[in-house]
Order: sequence, then C-alpha cells, then structure tokens
Amino acid sequence: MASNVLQLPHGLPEVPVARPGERRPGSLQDPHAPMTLVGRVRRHESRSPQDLPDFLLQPTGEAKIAGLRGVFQRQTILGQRDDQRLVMLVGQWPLVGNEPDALEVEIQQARVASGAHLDELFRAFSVDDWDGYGARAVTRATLERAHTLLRVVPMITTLEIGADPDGEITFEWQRGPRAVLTVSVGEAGPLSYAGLFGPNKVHGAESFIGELPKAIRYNLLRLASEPLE
Amino acid sequence: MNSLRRFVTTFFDWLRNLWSRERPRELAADEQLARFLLQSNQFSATKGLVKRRAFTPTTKGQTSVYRIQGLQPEGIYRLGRRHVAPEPTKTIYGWGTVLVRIVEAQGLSVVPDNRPPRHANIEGWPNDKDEQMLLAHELAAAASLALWS
Repeated sequence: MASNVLQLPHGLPEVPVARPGERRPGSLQDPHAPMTLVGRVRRHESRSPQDLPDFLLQPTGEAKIAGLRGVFQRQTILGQRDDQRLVMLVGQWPLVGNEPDALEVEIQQARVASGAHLDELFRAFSVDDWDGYGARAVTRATLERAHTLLRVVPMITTLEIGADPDGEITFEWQRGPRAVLTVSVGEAGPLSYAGLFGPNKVHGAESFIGELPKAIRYNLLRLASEPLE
Repeated sequence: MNSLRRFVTTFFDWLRNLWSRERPRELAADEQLARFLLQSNQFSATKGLVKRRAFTPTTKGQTSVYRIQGLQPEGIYRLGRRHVAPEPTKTIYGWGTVLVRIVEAQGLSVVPDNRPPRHANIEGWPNDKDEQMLLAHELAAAASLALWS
C-alpha cells in the first residue's frame, strides 16, 4: 500500500507526515481528516520565486505529490538548510503519521534558542537610552508581539534578532550584502519590512494579527532562493 | 627673541586650529565617511560586510560619521578612540566606509559640523520605518568593512 510513504517532487525518498502533535509512526489515519504534512523538498534552483512550485507559494490549493492528490488550507515553510527545505502543509491528505526528522528537530531548537535570545534582548533594552543616544526602551508589548512573530516566521537561513533605537525589535536574514531582509515589529501597528535582492529592493508595511503577512512570506522565500552574487 | 618666535608660532597654530574647527572643509562627492563599529552585530567578519544596524539613525534622525580623507587606518582608529569611544573598556571593532555621493544618491544629506573635528551627520532620513530600513540597507551594502585588530 502506497499511502504511508509519500514522495515529494525532486526525488527525495521519504516524507514524514503527521497530525499536529502526532508522534506515532506508520498507522493509517482517517483519509479525510485535516492533517499536517511535514516534508522536505530540495532547494529549488530557479532564480525567480515565481518559478517555485505552486504549492510552496499559494496559501490554499491543491497539491499532487507522488500521484496522491490533497487539498491544503495553508502552508508554512518551516525552514531550510543547504539544499533542503522543510514544508508543512495543513489540509486533507490520505496519509499517515510519522516521527519528526532531524531537520525538523533542529529547526525547533533554533526557534527555542531565538525565543530565549528575545527574552535576553528585552532585559538588556527595556530601559530608555540604552544606546546612549536617546533610544526608546523595548516594551513588554513589543516583546510579546515579537514572540508571536517568531512562532510564524520560517526559519530560513540564519535569523538575527536585535533592537532598533525606536524601541522596535528587528528580525534580520542576511545571505550577502544585497541578499537581505529585515522585518521590524513594534508594540502596535503593522510590521515594517525592507530588503535587497541583487539590484532589486522591496519595502512596505503589513498588518499583523498573528499570521505572517503574505508579502513577507513571499520575500523570505525569495531570499532563500536568491543566488548569491 | 626665541621666546617671541615660539609665542607667535603657538598663537598661529591655535588660530589655525580654531579656524578649521569653526569652518568645516567643503564636502567632496568622492570623500569617504567612516561609521565606527562599536557592536559586534553591526558587521559580519566572516561575510566581510557591514550591516544595516550600523547605519540606523538615532531617534533624532541622525547617523554620526567621520570624514576620514587623508587619514591612515591608525589615524582613523585614533580619531574614534579620542571622540567616539574614549573609555578603554569600549571596543572599536573597526569602521564601515561609504562615499558621500552614495549617501546623497539615497536622498540623504551629509551635514558636517566639525564638533568634534571631522564629525558629520547623515540626515534627512524618512519617517516611515520601512523606508528608513531600506536606505540603511543601501548604505550598508555599499560600505566597505575595515576591521581593527
């Protein structure tokens, strides 16, 4: 029976599949229940994010993997290392549970470490004038929103968290001088973002109510797929 | 006679110093500006790059820089040690250098005040955070990293 082994595109042999919190490998689940799919795909070689597989970019849709078709409500890129990308799809799949793999564990550890770093940062920057030039204090409300943001950002390349003089917390991903994206979160209001992608640049502000805005997700994927100069 | 000569020389040196302090030199487009790096998260030694954080303006909308034309690395370091981080406990990791014309190409301006000597501010930052971050990214991407060991 092929339903307990799933193959993602680009030839990777196995895809761990699990319900959220499910850690029981190999058992057949209700084929119509919403499930979480965690799988690896090889890093896409395209220069343009438009060329990424559709199921990596669309918030909802239908994906066909190894001859099996499923409908997903949303997808999250959990992380990326070298040529592998860990993807989570939430939707309906006629598939079964499995153990998390090493990459997933590593990404969870990175998320926990980043959360601890956020708390340290709050302790250091929660007073006014922390830079000696009139910087505003990082507030507890900003810290809490930063934790929320941390829960939903993909762990793509190395994430560096810091504080800006305006009291906002910044999440920065940098692969080179012109391959960089920064997202800034304050105690209220939209997320501000800005980035360089070779000769191209992006910036904007997106409202944030617990889900990562599409524009920011798109640009993070773009950063991950951007060739270095 | 010698005393008089010494007095006149000292007086003219003092006058020259006073003059140069009050009257900053004209800015040249190809003049180099140095942003001293006092925090390790302002640069990446392994990637050889200066980061956005180095150029992020203060809440007063200014980024402090120094005009380093004609200075050797030792002179730049001394400048930083004297005016930016005089406390021996503070580390000067190095500096990022960027040309005046690069700054001006972003719609920002360089305002020399010569207080302390060679000092200037990058001003004219936009109010919107995303635009501000973008310009800081542009300056960082164009900057050269010089590390002081």
